[in-house]
Amino acid sequence: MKRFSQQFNKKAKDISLSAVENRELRNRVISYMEYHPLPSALKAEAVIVSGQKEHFILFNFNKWRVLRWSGSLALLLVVSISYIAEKAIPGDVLYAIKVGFNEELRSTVTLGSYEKVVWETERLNRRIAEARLLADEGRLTQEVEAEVVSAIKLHSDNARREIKRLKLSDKDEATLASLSLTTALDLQSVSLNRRDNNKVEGEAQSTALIQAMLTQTQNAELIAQDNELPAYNRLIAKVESETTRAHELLKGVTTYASTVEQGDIKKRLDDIDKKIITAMASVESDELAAKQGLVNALQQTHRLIVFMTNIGVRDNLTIEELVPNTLSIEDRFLALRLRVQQTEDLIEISETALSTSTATSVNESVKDKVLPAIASSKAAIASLKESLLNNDESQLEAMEALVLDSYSIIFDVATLLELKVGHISTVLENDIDGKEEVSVDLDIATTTEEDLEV
Amino acid sequence: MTSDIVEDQEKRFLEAFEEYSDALFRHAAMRINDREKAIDAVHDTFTKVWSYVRQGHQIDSFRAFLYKVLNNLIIDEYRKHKESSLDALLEIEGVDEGSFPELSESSVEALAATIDGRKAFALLADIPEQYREVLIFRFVDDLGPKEIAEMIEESENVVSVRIHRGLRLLRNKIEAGMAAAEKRRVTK
Repeated sequence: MKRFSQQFNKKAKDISLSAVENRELRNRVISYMEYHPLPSALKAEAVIVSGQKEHFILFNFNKWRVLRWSGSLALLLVVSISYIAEKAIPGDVLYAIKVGFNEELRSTVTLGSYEKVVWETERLNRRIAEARLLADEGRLTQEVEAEVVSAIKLHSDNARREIKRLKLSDKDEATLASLSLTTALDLQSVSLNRRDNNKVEGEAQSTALIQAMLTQTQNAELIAQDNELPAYNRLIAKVESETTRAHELLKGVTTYASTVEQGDIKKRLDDIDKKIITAMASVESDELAAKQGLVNALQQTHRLIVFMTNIGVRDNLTIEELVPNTLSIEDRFLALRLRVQQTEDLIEISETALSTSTATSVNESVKDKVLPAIASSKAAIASLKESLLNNDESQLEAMEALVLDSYSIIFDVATLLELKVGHISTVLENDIDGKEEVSVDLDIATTTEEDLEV
Repeated sequence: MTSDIVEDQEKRFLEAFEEYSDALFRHAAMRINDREKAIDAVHDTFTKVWSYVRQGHQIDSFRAFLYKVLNNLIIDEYRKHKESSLDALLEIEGVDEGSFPELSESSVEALAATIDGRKAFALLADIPEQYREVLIFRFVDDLGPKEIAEMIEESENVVSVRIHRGLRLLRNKIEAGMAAAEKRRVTK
């Protein structure tokens, strides 16, 4: 049997995980471990135990120890200068150390192509943050701006070169790296544009040249992108590691973000988690849709990470602009019921206004327009209230459209009657102020100028 | 559980990943015949085991536990995609698996000695799952009949019967292939 076992086993050994597969699998498992850590009570216990040990550290001086201490002090000095230099901006004495030593050292020790793309994107973000700071202070001279533009070009070229290199060995990884780069470029470009639009004339300088370079680089990368999406497994692995990072960052934002802001970020992360679960559930039936869902989740996670880590972006863009809030089904039903109630209130107000108006304030032509509109809104609301009893999710979208339509009509009616009758203006103004979340376009009013003439 | 145990569990879990991930993948790939699904199965195995560790359970032997979890996942995968269950497959075979008490490791050895391992390996996908399962456990993962019995929750006797029958099936298929080749050669 030994010979059989040996032959059989030798053939089996040909089946093995490739280095890439093994790395990806390991990353997925480690991400899972980070995302589902051992219970915090156990970790807290671990901290306490290690804290107690510190009371019993003993010092025993000898010449070797002194030498070691001297060496350590020299190292500490280098590390300190290097650390302080990290906060330098163009024009500072230590800026050369930041760019020429710190960042180059990190570039040298960054080995993987994907990691290199991430690092070059980070360097690009740093140059933009510096430029933004200088522009805000009115110190962004033409020379400095030209230097920033050429640095952005250098870092984006480096990133794009690594992506091209990756394409030859690992196409999926290259696509993921390209997605990460274009998301960062897009965010920075939009954020700078918003900053320039919001700045007070004469108080801060424009960053138009930098924006142009960002847009040019982004377009070039978008053209170079293949239409193919990465493999499902690769996407899942990347989404898992990026969402884990986002959750970790969320723990760190407590120092600067208010409870409401933290809640906003948490809500977005929960939405992303739901999208991932939906994508995973649909992979068997529609893999393409699942992959698109994961790409969307990945891009939103990248945006959230930039929001949490980049003060420049955070100052110019709201979280809602970066990652729009997705209402849950329950929230949507709640908003729908509220809107139905508001529409009913406006119907009642309009009917009261009509019944109390004098013949001269509202002529027949206006009544001819207003009465069918009220009747139509009433009919729509009656039908909606009946449908709402079933809580049918499949009808939710249709119901939302219907209530918005009815509300728009009755809002126009109330606006018109306010012009004619006058005494419902307070109610109407309160209504407008209180309902910002549903856009009501007064331009779609059914009334014409002629109707308003008494 | 003290902090040392917490750290120890994390360390042991990662060591188990390094040590067994490839072997588990090999086992899964041979059983499922789908590389991506096999990787997923190994991933799910480790995440399930990690969840078990998180609940405060101590795992003495990661190897046996990992194989057990993986085996359950593979059976689930089969149940999802096969029209008939494994139990039904057994019934179709019409085998009373407790009817060969005389089978021993030595008779398996004698039978295996008559088979070419490379040819047998190539024909593995052509034999029923319940035989393939035990042959992979026995000759790829190097588990003994007792360990396999614990893994698949059957008696040692049933395991020995299945190994024996699996080998016999492979030998028959090899012989049939050789006979067919010979026939083709003669007719030429």
